[in-house]
Amino acid sequence: MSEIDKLVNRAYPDELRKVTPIAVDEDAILGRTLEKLGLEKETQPSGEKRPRHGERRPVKLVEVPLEREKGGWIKWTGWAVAACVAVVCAVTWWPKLDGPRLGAPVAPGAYFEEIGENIDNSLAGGETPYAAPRAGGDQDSRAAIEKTIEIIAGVKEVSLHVAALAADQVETGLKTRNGIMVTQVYPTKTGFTLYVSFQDHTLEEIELHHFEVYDENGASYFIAKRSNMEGQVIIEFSRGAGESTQGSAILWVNKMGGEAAEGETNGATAAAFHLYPEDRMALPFADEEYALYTPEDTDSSHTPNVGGQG
Amino acid sequence: MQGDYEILVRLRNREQAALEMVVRRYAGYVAAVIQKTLGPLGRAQDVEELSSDAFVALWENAEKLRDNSDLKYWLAVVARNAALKLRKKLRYEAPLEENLIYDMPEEIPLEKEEKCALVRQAIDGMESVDREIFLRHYFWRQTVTQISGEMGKNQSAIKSRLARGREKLRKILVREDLTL
Repeated sequence: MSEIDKLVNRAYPDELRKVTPIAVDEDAILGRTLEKLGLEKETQPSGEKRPRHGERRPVKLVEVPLEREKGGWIKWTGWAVAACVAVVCAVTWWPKLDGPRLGAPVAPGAYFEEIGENIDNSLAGGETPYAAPRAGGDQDSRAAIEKTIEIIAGVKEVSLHVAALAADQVETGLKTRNGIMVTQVYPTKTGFTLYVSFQDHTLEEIELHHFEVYDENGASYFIAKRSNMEGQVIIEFSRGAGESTQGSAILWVNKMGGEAAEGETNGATAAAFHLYPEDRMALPFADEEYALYTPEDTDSSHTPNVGGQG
Repeated sequence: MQGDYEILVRLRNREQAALEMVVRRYAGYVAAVIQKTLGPLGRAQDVEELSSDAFVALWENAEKLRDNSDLKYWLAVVARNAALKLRKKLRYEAPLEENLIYDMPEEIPLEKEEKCALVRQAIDGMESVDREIFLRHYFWRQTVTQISGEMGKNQSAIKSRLARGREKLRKILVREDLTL
């Protein structure tokens, strides 16, 4: 995007809200939507007639099949189990989260466990071991981690525009050739939490990746918490007391240890992203195409005019 | 009428009726956003196709949305981005009138929010016609030809007004040079 339309897009998000709906074939759109999702249109019961004006729709008794009741019971059981797991996790982890929730800086080593032997502990900011619980891919573990992240996150919502920094690392705006992608960013009182997805990476390979964040002045964030799981890493970055969390930042993803991939060396940068803060409601999207702004235009055919016109 | 949150919960529960409800509630709006973004190249089948893509995206990403998400706005953003991509794919990307960056001496060290406020100040301070032309071109990516046809003004006049608007924007941003 050019400079002007970036500025205008950021300044006028409400332009989208002012659009007047047009007449469309809703059935066609619904049909196409269901077709793409592999769903079939649910049919209305036949014989129903719309009540005439002033007439009340007659009450019809419907026998509820037994299987449906069973399904509902099972569904609620699942939710009850997930809720119990979330409560247990919250009770277990709540005392450890008191620091960041109240806005105080995270004390290095305060509540972190030493991590696996393949991970380098000398992160930005010094010797700061961080927790790397091996979360399984099951829904309850993931729900518990996401619940923890919600507890960490502050109340002010900002959206972060994430764009790839280095052109040679970029395939599209937010995704690198290595299949590494920043999918979600949430603010916290002392920094932000990132969700970074890794396509085609095993858990062991993911654990070999290190993350560093520096602000515009080169000052670093430290990692308050990191959770590795299949296909994804959730990392909370924080600043010290009195340090600003405003402004943009750069995320570096480096691969350390293990066997170097073809064409790469250990310690090579695997991906880099530039993070911009915006004062707007966060819209977490799983894919770059749903980000508010289109990716940086790397198409050289789109060359701006130079010099005055008109 | 069910609110967005109730619908979102039902979408997460994979209730097809909720999907139908949201399609019937927002299809006209989503289609309007797409049509406005695609401009004269927006065929009815493209509008329908991209509209359905937006609702598919909502169904597939319902779990990831926040509970207080504005579904209508979310769909609009998705739809607009999809339309912009299609424009690019169809090579319907006429260059925008003169990038501001070439007028700027150096990167202006402004806070992003302050920049936005100044941009709004500059654009809202324009005459209503100039403002409309500016937003049509830089927000909705409408070409000078399209704006000219829809507003009934000649292309030279459109370009002049855009240049005037850019100059005003540049002056305000440069004058209000704020350090971080």
